[in-house]
Amino acid sequence: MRYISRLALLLIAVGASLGVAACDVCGCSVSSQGLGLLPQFSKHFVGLQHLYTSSESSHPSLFAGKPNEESEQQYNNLQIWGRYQLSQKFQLFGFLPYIANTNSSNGTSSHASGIGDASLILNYAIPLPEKVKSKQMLLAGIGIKMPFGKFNSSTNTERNGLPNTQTGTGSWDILSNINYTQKGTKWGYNLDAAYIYTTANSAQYKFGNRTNIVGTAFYWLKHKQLTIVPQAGIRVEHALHDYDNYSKKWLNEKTGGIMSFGTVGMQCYYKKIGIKTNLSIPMYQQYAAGYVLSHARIESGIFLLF
Amino acid sequence: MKYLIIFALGISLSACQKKDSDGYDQNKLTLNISKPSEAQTFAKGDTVFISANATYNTQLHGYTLYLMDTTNNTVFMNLEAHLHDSHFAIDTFWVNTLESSRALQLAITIEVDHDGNEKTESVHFLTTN
Repeated sequence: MRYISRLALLLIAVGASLGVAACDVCGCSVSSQGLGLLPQFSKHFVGLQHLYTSSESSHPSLFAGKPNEESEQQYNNLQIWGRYQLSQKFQLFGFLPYIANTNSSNGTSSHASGIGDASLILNYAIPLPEKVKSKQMLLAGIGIKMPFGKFNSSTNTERNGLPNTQTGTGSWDILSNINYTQKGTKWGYNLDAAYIYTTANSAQYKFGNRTNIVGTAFYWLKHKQLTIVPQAGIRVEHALHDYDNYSKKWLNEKTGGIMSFGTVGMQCYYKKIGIKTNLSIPMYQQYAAGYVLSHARIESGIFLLF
Repeated sequence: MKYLIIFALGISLSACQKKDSDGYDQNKLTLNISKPSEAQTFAKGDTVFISANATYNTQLHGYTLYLMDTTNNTVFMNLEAHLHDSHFAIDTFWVNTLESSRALQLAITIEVDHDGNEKTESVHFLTTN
């Protein structure tokens, strides 16, 4: 219980940073670095997962007398990821995404696709006292996101695409996460918090630091070698404002914001193969000064345990 | 426990975001149109060179340029640029092909931000056939 209260304290503190409410306005990026509910603790795994989401924006034109600027964005993230069990206590997670994004505005579309930014996260399994009727696991990790994807200068946004629809951020970012799972004989829950501390890229554009918090309840159905795990929960994502130029402290207050989603999903395991699917429906959002509306997210993936 | 507190404190502190200015200050925005000159006259076939500079203490977001006959609102030239910089140098030109004498206005508007703050300067000149 003591560990749960510590975790709750951390989540509250992370939540406390949410008080501050990406064209200069359009779009919101897709981040899938959260670990969430993980497959069997003691095994390595490699997986392929796809995340699709879209957003729309409508905001006043920069130029007086012009109609509102309307645009739609579609984001696709196809990602190879996996876990390597370094020892009983340490796990290394790796992510390598392929990004395909489209921005449509005023009858014209721009498309960006290619390798995205890769990440590595080292997690430590914090020892917890054993419980009689349930199992629990607490992971805390730190990692790095590397600028494998392409980023074009924001001073050429109209020619080269919006900052957040490009395949990379161009920056080295620090990742941290904490992940707690408790599982009884049938029921369980998972709390996952991730924080991304961003740095400015070579064009001095700095994406806002991001916080993702996910709470998921799940039910464990096991029949012989088949395991089915239906789950539902809540996801809260927060992003600070971006800087158009970090060295000059040009803060873009039309970026960043908060979104919350209701999530439903399912994981299935049969022998060494697992599949998962997840749907996130927006419940509340105040993003990019309210000019951006994010739509549902659909996530699906396959694991191979070994 | 202390590591969790340090971690949480670090996250909370990082929520504070510095910025270089608080709101629009029109006194710090300068916009000068150096070419053409006020009341200058251009004959048919002449090239009208247009030159202007805008500077501000923080970033500007773009500009519009209109060259028009204000008596009937006929637009002869219209440029829009969405740029991020604290300094714009506008250098372009227009060739007078008008068959009749007109009184024209060159108006340049600097877009300071996305909240509608802007500054406009204009010059008037004449064309002759």
